Amino acid sequence: MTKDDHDSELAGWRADWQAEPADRGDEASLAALERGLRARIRGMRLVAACEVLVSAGFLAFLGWFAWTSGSWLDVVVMAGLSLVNLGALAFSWWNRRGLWRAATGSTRELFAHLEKRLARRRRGLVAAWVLLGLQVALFVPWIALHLEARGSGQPSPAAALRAWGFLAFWALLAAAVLGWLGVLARREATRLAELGRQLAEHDD
Amino acid sequence: MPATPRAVEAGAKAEREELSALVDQILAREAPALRRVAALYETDPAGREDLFQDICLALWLALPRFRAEASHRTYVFRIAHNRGLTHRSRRRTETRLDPEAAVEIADSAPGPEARRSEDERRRALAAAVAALPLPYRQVLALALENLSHREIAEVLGLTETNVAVRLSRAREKLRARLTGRVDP
Repeated sequence: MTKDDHDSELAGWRADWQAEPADRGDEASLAALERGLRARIRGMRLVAACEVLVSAGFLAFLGWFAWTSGSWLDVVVMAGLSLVNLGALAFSWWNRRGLWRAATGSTRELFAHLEKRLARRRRGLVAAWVLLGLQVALFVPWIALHLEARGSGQPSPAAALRAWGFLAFWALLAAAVLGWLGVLARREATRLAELGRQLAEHDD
Repeated sequence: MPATPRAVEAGAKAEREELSALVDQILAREAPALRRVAALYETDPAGREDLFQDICLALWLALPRFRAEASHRTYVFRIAHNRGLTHRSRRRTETRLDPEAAVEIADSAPGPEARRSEDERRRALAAAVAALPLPYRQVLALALENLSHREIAEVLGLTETNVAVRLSRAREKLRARLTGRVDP
């Protein structure tokens, strides 16, 4: 094949590639597309605002509980929970950076960035498991002391069940969420590895 | 003299309008090309439309940060391909088009190639490109959008030599797929 044949081949492919498709009925108009984009941006901002409101409400509740309880242990535990809550909110905002800011580097830079972000997310998950363990470790003596302080002798079975059941429920729920996030992170790692393999396979 | 709040607000409003006009301009010019990029990374039509919207949103968010170190086109394609790659990295299953299906589409019309409609040729080409391995798909798709080797290198973070070699191999594979020969 001569150079001219090559160029006319590419020119022919270009013309076919850039030709308008016959079935344009399903393509949204530009105005509708822009409306959709603005709605998505508003949606993202609304989710972020709701997260801040829920966190603020939870922090206020923790503060009120610590203030009215009068027990030093309550204050310590509520302060610990507040820090965990703030850390979780900060992590959530940091982790969402890829949605707020579009990747503008080259494809290679993006791939390196995706790998780094996944590594950070996995480290974050390990930290979350440690924090969950610490919270359970804080709550166990707190609950035990509270149950003891309610009255003389053994606490009622109903009160004990409520207290321990409450802790078990939230701890198991948190563990289930972290477990699921771990599964998602492992799947993403597999897909990224495959993508990296494909990109590297044809490196010249 | 420091700017008054009203002047600052007016300035911010003017910037937003300028950005909005720039986005309108770019989308009006590049929307078909961005749809073609979405089709490279997503075979499902509904998923493709979602990815196209994601790409447009990413552009909207990134354009305020555009500095003139790259051309508009290079910047736009870089964002689009990055969004496509991120989408690929998050998808549960890879539903890459079977190369045999690309040949079937290419062969489906009766009669010699000259009589095939433009739309059928476009579909066959799009299917064959989508069936290529990812690095070849990216380079070839950018070349088909009239980007130069230098611009393709900027988008993908390669050298111009890499781009030339990949493009040459990509064209061989595409030629083979479109003519139904064994894949080199």
